[in-house]
Amino acid sequence: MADEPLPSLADLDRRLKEARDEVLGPPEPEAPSRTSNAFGSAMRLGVEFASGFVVGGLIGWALDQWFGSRPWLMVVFFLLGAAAGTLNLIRSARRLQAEAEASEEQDSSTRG
Amino acid sequence: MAAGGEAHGPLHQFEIQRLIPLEVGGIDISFTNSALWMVIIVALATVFFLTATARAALVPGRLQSVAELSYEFVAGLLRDNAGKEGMKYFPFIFTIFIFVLLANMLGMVPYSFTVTSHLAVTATMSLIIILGITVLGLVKHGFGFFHVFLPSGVPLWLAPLLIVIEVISYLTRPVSLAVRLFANMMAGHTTLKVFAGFVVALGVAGVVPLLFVVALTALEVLIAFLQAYIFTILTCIYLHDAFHPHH
Repeated sequence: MADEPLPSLADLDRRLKEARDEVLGPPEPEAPSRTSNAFGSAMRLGVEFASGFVVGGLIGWALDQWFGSRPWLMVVFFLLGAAAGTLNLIRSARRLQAEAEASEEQDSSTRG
Repeated sequence: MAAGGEAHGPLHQFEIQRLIPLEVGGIDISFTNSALWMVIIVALATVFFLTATARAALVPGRLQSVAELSYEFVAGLLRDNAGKEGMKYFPFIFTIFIFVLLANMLGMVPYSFTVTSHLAVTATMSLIIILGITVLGLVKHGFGFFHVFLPSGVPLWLAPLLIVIEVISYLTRPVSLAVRLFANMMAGHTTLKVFAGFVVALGVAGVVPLLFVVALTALEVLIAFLQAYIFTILTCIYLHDAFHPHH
């Protein structure tokens, strides 16, 4: 027997590869239902923003415990946390905006 | 008027009960109702997918269609948000989606227990996800993964401040992931119980809150699905960062 795989196997290999490429190929233009997106994004953004404050405050509180510098580090990290929360907010909002624009474009192209 | 303090107040549903008390080395590892429901979820999912795919036909039957639809739904989600490389982690993402979805949906069954309404459960899941993704990113990119914390094109004098902010922002991920799911499930179920309490308390006029409860139940089912969807999509987005640490 040679090292070469049987022709039928090679063929199968090729077809498998094609099928796999199809599955992993470019994303299908398919958007999840619009209404659930609007509702979901409202909740997403709220928690995203608030968690920045919480995490910042907690880090500051923990560091204060450690260094005994109450309350200064907590104040500083609360503000940094606010910045992080805002950053989170802007990032998710941008992502949502991009999603919305993409689906809008798709709408107009399918309709037009 | 001790509705909240009664044994069957709106918060009674979230109580953890020890079904099989167990203690090892001073740590309470009792088998609780929460654990029981998790076992039920896993068993149900396993049985469902085993039966649905047992006699896989080219033209799928009803059960097989549901299994295939959920598979394609998650696969699409993962491909759109994490890209091609992400498909390797499909089993993990699929497991997360099905587990959260079933936990939320089974929580809608009367007298059941909503596993995801406990922060301990959602926090554990989100910590595993974020830690796993962080390790994955470090393995894939080595030190380059820390580019996550420093966007390119930032003036050097701003870097120290920005790095701290980015690190905090990164640390908010498990928090927001866990809190969102937990808060939504907890708040929704509490609201349902509070309104259901009004139905009895108001007598004939209880028809009004009853209508409310019906509408809220429908909304809760939507939220149950939506939160599973959001939990999964965020996991996919974070997974994307592990492959592409440069923003």
